[in-house]
Amino acid sequence: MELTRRDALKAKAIAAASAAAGIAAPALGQNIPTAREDTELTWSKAPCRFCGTGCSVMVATRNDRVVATHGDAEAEVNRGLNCVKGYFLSKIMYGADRLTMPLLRKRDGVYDKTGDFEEVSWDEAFDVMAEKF
Amino acid sequence: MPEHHLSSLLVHTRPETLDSVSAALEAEGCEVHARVPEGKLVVTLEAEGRRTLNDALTRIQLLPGVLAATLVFHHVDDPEALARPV
Repeated sequence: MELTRRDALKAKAIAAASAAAGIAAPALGQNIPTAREDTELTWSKAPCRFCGTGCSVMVATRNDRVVATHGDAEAEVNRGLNCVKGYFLSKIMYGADRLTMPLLRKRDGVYDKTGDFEEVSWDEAFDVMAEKF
Repeated sequence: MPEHHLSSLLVHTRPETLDSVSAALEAEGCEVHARVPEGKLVVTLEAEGRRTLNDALTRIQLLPGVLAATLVFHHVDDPEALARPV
């Protein structure tokens, strides 16, 4: 049987849930060391920044993009579990409606409180803010 | 861009509802990988979108006998990339 990346990730998913439950992982969830190398993922540890509890999250990146998360089983705070906000938090970076540039209300190319939002450079944004203080 | 979401859940149930919850999870499209008599189940849940995944999770949390259904692992990727051999 040919093993796909999906199979390898599923094994990791099962192992993570079994560890969080404190029960022995079933056979499908046990082939982790090879699965980790083969799926080309880099796993790093990060604190969740959603609330103040301080849960630890394991974050996987591939080609500098976050693709997977699971609760850190070794963290005293959350012991392998995260809430749904913690799981999806890292993925909101890729939301289509996320702001990536400052917006300034403008009319005819200059700041106008009644104008419409336009993308501007950080330099322009800071200059206008400094001017209005 | 098409997405495939792969997640695992830890489901806590009342011990006497293990069978019915297990059947309901499978009807929801989950795979049940492990269960212990105390009322814990390890399941995987896959979906094409985050909304679909969240809706399924909510339905699971509301199943009779379920005390908690907690997401433990979540991976989102291009379906083609996931189908590649390792």
